[in-house]
Amino acid sequence: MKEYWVFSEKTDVVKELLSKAHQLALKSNGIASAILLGAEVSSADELHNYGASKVYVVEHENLKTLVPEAYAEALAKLVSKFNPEAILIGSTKNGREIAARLAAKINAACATDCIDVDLNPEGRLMVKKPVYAAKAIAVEILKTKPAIATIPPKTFEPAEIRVKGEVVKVEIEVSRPRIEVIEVKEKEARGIPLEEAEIVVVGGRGFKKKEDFKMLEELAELLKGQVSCSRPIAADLKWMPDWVGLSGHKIKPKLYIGFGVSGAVQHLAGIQGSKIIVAVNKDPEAPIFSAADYGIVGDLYEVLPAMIKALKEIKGK
Amino acid sequence: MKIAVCIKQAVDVAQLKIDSSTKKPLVATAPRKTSDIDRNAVEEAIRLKEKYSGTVTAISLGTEKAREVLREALAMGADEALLITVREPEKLDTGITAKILSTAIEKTGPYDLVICGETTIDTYSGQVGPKIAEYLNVPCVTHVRSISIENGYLTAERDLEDKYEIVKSKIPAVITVTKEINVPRLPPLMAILRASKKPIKIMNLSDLGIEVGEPRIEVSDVQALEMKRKMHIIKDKPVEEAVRELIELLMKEGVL
Repeated sequence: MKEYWVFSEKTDVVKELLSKAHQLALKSNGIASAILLGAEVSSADELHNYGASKVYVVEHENLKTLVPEAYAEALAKLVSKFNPEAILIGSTKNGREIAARLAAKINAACATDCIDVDLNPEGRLMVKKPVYAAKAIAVEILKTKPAIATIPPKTFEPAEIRVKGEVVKVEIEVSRPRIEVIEVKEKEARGIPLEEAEIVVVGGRGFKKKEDFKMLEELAELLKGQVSCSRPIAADLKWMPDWVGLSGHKIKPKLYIGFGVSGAVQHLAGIQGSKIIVAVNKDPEAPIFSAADYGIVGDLYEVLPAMIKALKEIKGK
Repeated sequence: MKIAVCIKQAVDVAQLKIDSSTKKPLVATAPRKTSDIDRNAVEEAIRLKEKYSGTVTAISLGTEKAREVLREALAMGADEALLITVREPEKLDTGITAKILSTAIEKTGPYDLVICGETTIDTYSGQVGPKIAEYLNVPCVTHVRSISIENGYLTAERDLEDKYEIVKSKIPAVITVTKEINVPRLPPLMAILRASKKPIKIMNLSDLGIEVGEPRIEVSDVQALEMKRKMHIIKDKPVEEAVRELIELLMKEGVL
């Protein structure tokens, strides 16, 4: 029986990937399976409602904290026991590292950040992925068994697919990780994930100080949207916990408005799923204007308050 | 402390052009440069050397032209440079790239620390660092935004999507660094001149005893993403008028 495996440390992503793995399985008369790793694993059978015929569970004290090398070791041992066709892994930072180590251990082809996965006529995994800062899309065929593809969160919709299945508890030895996590500092959480927001207003380096982001918040509130920023604002200045771009959230709202965002290719790669892109920037040469539907060449410190005022007037009517 | 830092001469994606008739990116003729985050990797290696003393060896895998990125690393303060030459580096997948680099690291090492950028600007896969660690059988700490080393252990802060993680690991280890870990220095002219006289050691795959087998990944097509944007940019108008016009346009689009 051909098996298409799914692994992610995030339950939501497991469900998203399962809907795709289930499609691959249907094409090749196989099954979709999910892998759950941890010190104690609960609600494994819930995944039978999302297309997983088999749920392999490995419980081991050395899997208690996610350390990629330990997770990769566990996955490699499962692979050699059960010999799947392909493994879809959630493309988080830890997920990509797990995929890398696993691929190196089992000598598998691994494609990262795929936006679609299919089987070619020979039954090989065929993936689509953005390359060169998402200026192009590559189609790649992975010629190993298993093949590994990492897929960003929110790429596929989870689907309720009820299948008869079994939970398979597997006893394997996992080495004690050589890396110890000694402290975790959670970043501030958002209400709605940015990937699901309908409207996103984004601040860039044109902002002079953190307090000025209040204007963006006010605009977002008027538009019932979310606020985010470009990478330097979050990663360098730490004004916000996360950012939009190739290395951050890849968003697809119906409306994106960037204020003082110049439009580095990595940022543009993260916003190109947007239906309408609007840019406000002082610099008429800012690259974001050639990637925008609409724009105003002007100082955000004038345009943003004027926009808030105008929208308030419209709302008042 | 002996540090190796891996750097890539990457396609400068900001300057990559698309062929208007075939819709293919013109990769072969695109300008190349040191992958941005790899400069942070070099900078961090030099800072660690300055703090704990030791040597920094910059390693690159590429064509003869990749000497340029090694010269830059030498000018920044790397002590030695090693270029592993291949004819078509773009055709190598991340697995074989890591195999080649880890073999070179083993041959010229041992090193206490191997530093890579968290990802490169052109492929953005983040695979090579962890794969090098796997082949060297050492721990790997990815997405590091600060690091210190004491008594044979490193302590590092990792920047993940929803949290920061402080981790401790024995060295030798591989780390991959983020752009935020430092601001890479701009070498003064004297350092650039001095670097131009430093030797760059050249090796090829047969020196390393590596044969590149059949590719495990076949790229069957690459097509430019068509960015069909309207590019309706309002300029030279009073702010209120420009804003009103924009809001009307967005209402017409049905997005407001």
